Amino acid sequence: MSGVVVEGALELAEAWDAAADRADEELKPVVSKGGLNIKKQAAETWAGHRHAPDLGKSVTYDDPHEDGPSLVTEVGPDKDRRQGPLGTIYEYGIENGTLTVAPRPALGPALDAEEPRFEQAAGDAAERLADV
Amino acid sequence: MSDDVDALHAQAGLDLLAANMATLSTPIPVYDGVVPDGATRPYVLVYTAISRPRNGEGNGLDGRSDAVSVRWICHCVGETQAASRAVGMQVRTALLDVRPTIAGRSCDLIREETVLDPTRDESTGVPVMDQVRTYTLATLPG
Repeated sequence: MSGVVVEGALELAEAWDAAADRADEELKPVVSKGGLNIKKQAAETWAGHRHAPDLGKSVTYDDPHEDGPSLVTEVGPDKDRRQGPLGTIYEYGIENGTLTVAPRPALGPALDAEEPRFEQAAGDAAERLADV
Repeated sequence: MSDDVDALHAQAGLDLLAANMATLSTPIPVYDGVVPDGATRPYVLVYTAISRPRNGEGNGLDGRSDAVSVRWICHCVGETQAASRAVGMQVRTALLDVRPTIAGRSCDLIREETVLDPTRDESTGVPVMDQVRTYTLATLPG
């Protein structure tokens, strides 16, 4: 009988399974650090605004949690903290026909700044997972 | 020393919006940062933020900030939620996944970053619904 013989496929599958089990352990610190960096930059950008001096301090981030196949951390102004409810207005502005407020975004630019660092760190984590 | 890099980036999104709205049987006005007195709804009010992220993807080893990030924050305003959504749909059609042409730049596709729930105001007696949609674009020299 002719054909293709594949050796080591089971071992490879077991290795990938083991890597998948360790993925959270490697990636959670990366996601957490990314969230922290975004929070810090956003808080600095909004710090000291004359009409919302506490807005920067209201920015928080969550511990990473699983959402389906993704690891997620949420960063933004906590509406339960002082001046947190102003965050949406500062980030996006407001337009309701009587009141027009231009945005002063902090979260978006912080995300832009963090993206390449996060990708590098996530790539390094993926390499560590693949190497062992 | 002045350059027109920021203006070209901002205008790229505004031109795409204006071009799409002009094809409609009832064109929707696109306003750049200011709604003129007497403007009637529906309309789009656009704020543009342009930055050069530190460690931007594509920056070279010389450390110069060549990558540009553009953010168009679009307020889609109508008198009902349906009208606001319709404006938002036209904004999405104009921008999402489009690769603009900017002189001297290599452009990514425009991405949708955020869509907020519509906010409502009835203080004038006529309800106004405002849905905010944010679109971003990354460019490099080229």
